[in-house]
Amino acid sequence: MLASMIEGLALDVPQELPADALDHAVGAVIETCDVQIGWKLAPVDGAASGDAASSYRGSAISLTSEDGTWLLVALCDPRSSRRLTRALFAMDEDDDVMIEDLADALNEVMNVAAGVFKSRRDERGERLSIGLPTYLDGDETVCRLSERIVRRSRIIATEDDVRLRIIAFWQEGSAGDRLHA
Amino acid sequence: MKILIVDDSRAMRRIIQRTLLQAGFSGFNIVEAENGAEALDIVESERPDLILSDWHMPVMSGLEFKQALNEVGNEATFGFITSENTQEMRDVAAGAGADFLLAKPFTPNDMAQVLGMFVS
Repeated sequence: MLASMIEGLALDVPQELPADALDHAVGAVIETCDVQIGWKLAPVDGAASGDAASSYRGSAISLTSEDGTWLLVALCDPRSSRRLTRALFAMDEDDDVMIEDLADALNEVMNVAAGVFKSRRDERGERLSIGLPTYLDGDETVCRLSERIVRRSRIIATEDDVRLRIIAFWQEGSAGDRLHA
Repeated sequence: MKILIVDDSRAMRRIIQRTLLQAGFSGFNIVEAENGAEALDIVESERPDLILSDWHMPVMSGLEFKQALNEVGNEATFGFITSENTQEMRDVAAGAGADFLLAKPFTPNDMAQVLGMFVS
């Protein structure tokens, strides 16, 4: 279900992103996690394709300009999402994680990362408005993303293998409308 | 001192409280709200000395909240803690009468520098 949601969000998007956009999106999430919870995430080599089988929780946020909409998505496996939630809430490692807190944590990471992304695009003269984040729950089924989505994504990970897949789309018009539909 | 933290994210409200302590601020009472509308009610009943508000929230945004406070003449120190960090948005915040804007993500040092001018 989550895979089809992501594929649906990416309908009609051009094949190529502006060269530095995915870098900015990935850098924004890395900076957010570093400053706010001290996590050192780094891109994983060779992760541009495949390895999407267990990515089934996440958050998406839109940034809109006069010309179109950026959609930034973070996906992660259940273990990584629980680790992220515990870190943000300063919970103990064995504390149970409620789904509401997990959704809140993923959404807040993307909200803050969207601000960092906006600042970086603003330096290039791109004027963007940030939307509200939307939690993506792929239930317990395996999420397999198509190759065209994987090409727009990058995996970042900590040394102890907490992983997030970051995806960036650009679409003429408003992908945000589709996100909240 | 009474501090009102307004943010739709419970995680961020926890982070702000934690960072206040890490930045060396203590001995305050914290009250919380999830959006501007809820915060307006709390301002009336709790009379906070300092308001720390997110910008993007459902129901009522931080900017709308600040404008509503202006209309009733509230004089509490008001700061945005927000993912917005462009000069344009800083100008909007200042134009609405905000005393400061602390951009997310922030460190304890960032918070100490910004709040140090308003909180002892």
